[in-house]
Amino acid sequence: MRRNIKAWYYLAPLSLMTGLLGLASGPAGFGLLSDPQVMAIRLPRVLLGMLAGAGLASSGAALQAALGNPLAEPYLLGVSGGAAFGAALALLMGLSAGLGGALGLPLFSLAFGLLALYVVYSLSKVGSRLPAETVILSGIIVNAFFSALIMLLLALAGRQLQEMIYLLMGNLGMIFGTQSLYLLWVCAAIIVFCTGYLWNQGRNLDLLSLGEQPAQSLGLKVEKLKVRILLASALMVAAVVSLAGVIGFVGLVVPHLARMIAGPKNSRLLPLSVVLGADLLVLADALARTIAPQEIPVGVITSLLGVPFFIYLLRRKKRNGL
Amino acid sequence: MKRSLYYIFLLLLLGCSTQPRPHNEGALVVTDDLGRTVSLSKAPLRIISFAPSLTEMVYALGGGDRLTGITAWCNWPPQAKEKTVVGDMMSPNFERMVSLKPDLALMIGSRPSPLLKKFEALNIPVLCFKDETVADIQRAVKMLGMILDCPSRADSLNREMDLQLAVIKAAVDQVPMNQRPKVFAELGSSPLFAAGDSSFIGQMIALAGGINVNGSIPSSYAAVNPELVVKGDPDIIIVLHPQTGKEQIRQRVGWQNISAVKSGKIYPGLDQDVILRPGPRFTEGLKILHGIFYAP
Repeated sequence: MRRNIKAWYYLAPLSLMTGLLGLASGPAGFGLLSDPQVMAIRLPRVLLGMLAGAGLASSGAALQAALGNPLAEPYLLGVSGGAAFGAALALLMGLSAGLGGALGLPLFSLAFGLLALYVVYSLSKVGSRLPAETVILSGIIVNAFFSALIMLLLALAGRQLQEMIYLLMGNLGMIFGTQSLYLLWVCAAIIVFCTGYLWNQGRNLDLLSLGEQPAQSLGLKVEKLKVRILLASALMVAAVVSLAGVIGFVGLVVPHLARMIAGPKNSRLLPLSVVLGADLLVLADALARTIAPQEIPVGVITSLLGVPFFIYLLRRKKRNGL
Repeated sequence: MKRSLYYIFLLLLLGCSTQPRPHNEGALVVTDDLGRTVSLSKAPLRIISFAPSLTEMVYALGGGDRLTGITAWCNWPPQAKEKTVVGDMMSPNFERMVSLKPDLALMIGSRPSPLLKKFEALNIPVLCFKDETVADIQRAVKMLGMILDCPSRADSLNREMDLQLAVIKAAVDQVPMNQRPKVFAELGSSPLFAAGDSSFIGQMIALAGGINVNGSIPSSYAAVNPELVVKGDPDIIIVLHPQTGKEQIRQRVGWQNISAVKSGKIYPGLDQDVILRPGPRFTEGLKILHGIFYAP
């Protein structure tokens, strides 16, 4: 118990510092008040990093709890595949450019993300039940299908190839351009609302982790809860993909990191995942912006940094017998 | 080994002759830009071109009727569109190509590519040209002049290029370095793509008397952070892709204080083919750029 309080004590200033570091670093030089124009470019990017990191990490944590599977993550549900396909399709159709086009890409992304979720849902529904294994299996299948469709689009793409590849690698720089700025607020609203909902369901998720039968007998409407968790996660992931592309790793590993710090209780795990996810992505993007004049996809950095760190934590945990 | 046997089998199936051609009468031995020695049995009559710049060169040398296959990107001169499209470097259509019975293939690149290897396996003579500098263009023209048996025409084409270059260079040389305009060349908007000094467009900017604000990018082309453009503060923005218009650049967050945006010197809708294509029309591209950089 005391350990958790101590964690927050460190995390609050750490997050503040991460945010400031994100704002202060970039290819145009280091400094907070250097140039208001440069800040105007950095600020949306840092905000998007926070939102995307928070959304991915919290949906990962909630899915792991709801499906009772430590490998569950937002991209496993097929939603990311659907959303990425929608976005790539919008790019191929030229909906990202021109009048009102800024809306085309996120709308397509959201629509196909939800379509993927609907397919996964109908595939995995057994009677009135929604077994976790079938959800994960159908998620993988649907993701594979959309991956194939994405490859088809890549083969058909001419000029849009570059854009598509950057979308698939995950890139916070996509927020650049005034047309998409108001979309940041839409994305923020979706993520804040869904994260809030997930946090609110923390106690119910704890119940669910006792097992479906016991949770049911304690009066929890298990299937209803699962559907809502899936929907909230899918909405967040689709929102993230539409603005930042496919950023891997965060949704899978950050919840585990948080669990090592805060323990398994979801009402604590979820907010910590939000904070850690946001921090990690902002930090990774700050690094991606600074180490080279070229844009480096942030997904590369998160994986390169996060995987060794995670392996270290796992090994230490094993040694200490925690 | 297995693969080459497979191709020989394919050739037999298609009814092509695999008998070695006589290497005597008018044999031509040339060395391409990769240092490969290629011997052509006669002046080739059925040529496949894998680059729009090479297609333009062949036409400029009067050898257009010898082209049998081109890429989908080859759009100049207009009559080139009537030729058979055989895919491009990324996705060549071998079946269609073999059916055209080419006796020479032309491609660009500075290192051996899988496509090159396939041509070698198919026993189709292939020449590889570099296309990075003005000198590369002129060397390719000279080489093609030799192959198409019109060396004097190649020489006069190169002399014409030299002449045009000299005119622009004379004008540019009068402007001291610190008075030349800073230029941002946008090659893609999402992500923002810029060109380094080592790229062809980077050299075009320098030749036309501009200073590339993204010159220090280590690679030829790269996705860059828009901050770098704000920091570089270009006097002129040239847009070399169709996705972005003047108004969109004006509305970009953080770009309001860039000199080019304040003065409105943003140039979308330029003829990308003459500016970006390392072919015989590059001097036209230079004239366009020079006109923009030193517009009154």
